[in-house]
Amino acid sequence: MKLAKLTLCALVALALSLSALAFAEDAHYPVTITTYDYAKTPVEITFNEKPTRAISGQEIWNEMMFYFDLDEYMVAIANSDSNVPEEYKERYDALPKISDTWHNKEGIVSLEPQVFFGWRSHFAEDSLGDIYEWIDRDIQPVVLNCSNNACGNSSVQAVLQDFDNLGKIFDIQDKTDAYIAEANAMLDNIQENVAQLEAPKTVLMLEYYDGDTTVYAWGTNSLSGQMITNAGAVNPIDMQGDISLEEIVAINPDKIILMNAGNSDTEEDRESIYNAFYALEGLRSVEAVKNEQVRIYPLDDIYGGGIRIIPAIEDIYNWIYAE
Amino acid sequence: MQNKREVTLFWMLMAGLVFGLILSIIFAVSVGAVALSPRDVYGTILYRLTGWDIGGIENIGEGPLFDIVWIIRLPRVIMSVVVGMGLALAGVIMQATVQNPLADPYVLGLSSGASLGATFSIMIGASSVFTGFLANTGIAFWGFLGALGVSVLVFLLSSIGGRMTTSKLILSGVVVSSICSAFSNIIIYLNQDKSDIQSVTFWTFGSFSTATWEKLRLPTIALVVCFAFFLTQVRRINIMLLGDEAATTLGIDLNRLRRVYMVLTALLTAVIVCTCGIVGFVGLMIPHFMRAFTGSDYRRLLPATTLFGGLFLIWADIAARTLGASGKEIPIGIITSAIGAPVFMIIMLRRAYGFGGRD
Repeated sequence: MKLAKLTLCALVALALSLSALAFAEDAHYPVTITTYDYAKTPVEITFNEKPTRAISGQEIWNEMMFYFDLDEYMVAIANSDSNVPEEYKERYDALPKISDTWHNKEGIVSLEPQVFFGWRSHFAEDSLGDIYEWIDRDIQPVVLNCSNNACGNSSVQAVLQDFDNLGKIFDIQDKTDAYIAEANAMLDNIQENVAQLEAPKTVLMLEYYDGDTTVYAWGTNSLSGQMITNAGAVNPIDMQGDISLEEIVAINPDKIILMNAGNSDTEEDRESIYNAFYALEGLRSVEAVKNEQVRIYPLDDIYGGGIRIIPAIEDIYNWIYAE
Repeated sequence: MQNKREVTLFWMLMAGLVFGLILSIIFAVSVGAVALSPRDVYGTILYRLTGWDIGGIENIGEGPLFDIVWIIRLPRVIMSVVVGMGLALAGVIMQATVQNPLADPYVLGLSSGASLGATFSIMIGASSVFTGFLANTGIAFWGFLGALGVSVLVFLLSSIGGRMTTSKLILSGVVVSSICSAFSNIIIYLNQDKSDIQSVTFWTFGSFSTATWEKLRLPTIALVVCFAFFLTQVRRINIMLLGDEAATTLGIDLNRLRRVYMVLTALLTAVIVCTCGIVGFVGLMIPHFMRAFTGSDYRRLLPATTLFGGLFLIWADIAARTLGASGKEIPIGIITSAIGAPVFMIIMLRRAYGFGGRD
């Protein structure tokens, strides 16, 4: 009898601890994250369980999924054939692709995903349409914070928020928190180093391709333009837009970053961009031009967000303050 | 021009326009994104032109000041004058040639032809389709080719089934225009390259921001040649405005004249479009605006319109350069439409307005 009682007690205890364990595992969900609709209004999205069917609708998301080993949860990813980092090639090839996620409503719905990781313009009227319709369909949309300034205030912190969102959705916050902490330490370090300098450098981020176009400048209202500030230099442009050559002469930047938003970034492409830029005769007295301190960065490294932003900031910092 | 008072008034207007143009050029080089003292600006220009150093300017003839004034600003100001004059001239000729007040230099599909050519060159690239000489041709070349190709096509279309009439001309222009735009859009749609799209945007908005002395050469030659030629044609144009029947009675072969005029304006417009993209509204509005002052006699209208076109675009470009926040540029095409449309409306509401001929 006593033995029976003891056994019962032991069983109850075991059951209790097991259920406690199970409860602990589920304690992460439901989890709520904030994303943005096309009008840039914050929208709260709740996940009641770990999604097992996800679609990555854009290459920046693709790379984040690879980075955190989330391949197994992807039912499809965006086709970005022209632009897959070497180290992810094999895994990219192994997953099913959707070629045009912006206009393939049917293809997306038929895959029955629980979550769609996209870009702000995915949810424009002439693309996939209203974000709320997708929520009603039980396909949770998650928009990249800085895509077309979706969150209204693009910044490197908004980029890191994308990582936090991913961590919450897939319950991998230990990994994403570590990433965010390391990034913040690096960013703080840059600011501390620069604070000890006499004067920070002035840097412009421009776009210019050939003799027939205007020169475009990225201002601190954009993530790309802010990366100069994050790298410890001064970007005197606040609003992005076409810039006059004489304004560039007047600013006289120490260094110039040329963004290559073209589809390819081969040596040849860079050569032609450099040649076109150095051919702007009016800029010959500008420090950066005179000293040939002009460097090309491909769009993917300095635009939108994802795993390339933090390394790019570090790289820009190292280049600007190489001396 | 029988009336003596009218003649005096006309010459006063011309003198005023020339004087205004010169003053505006002088003013335009002194304003810009960067504030420079007039002494620095004019001292630099004077030094470059005559070699005379007025003193007090450091490093005259080199450095940032020289680059801003002589390399960046002055060519740009002169470009705006040349383009303004060219577009106004092309517009006023086009309106007479097709006898329609809604005609402008782009009405015969020139702009969409140029855009298609440019879009093709930017997005597909001549080198990927052609070999040899054609492979090494740039955007401007293809824009030019597109503009010319379209005008030839419009000619042929409007000549189908006998005589070329003005309504057939305009309709053909509209049709060919839509075809070109459709093809441009297909190319743009199939190509998601952001850098290419930016280059194409330049073509649809127009800009003088990268004007150089070198780029000025061709449009200036085209303008001078066309202006001189059309000055000799003003009497014929006046007869043209009376309509086909009247002209035939007076022994003028309108068909042949139209061809010559349109080929010349097409060339002029194509050259302009290739240099600075598409600057809308100038060619349409300036001739109408001047009609309110000179009447529709082309002996007066033609030179006045041409001068005023230059004057207008200088000021439009000053606005484009200075209205944007912190050195930002507003595309010139936006300015010309924003100023142009309301001014145009006011003129249309005025009773004194007449197009000339049988309007």
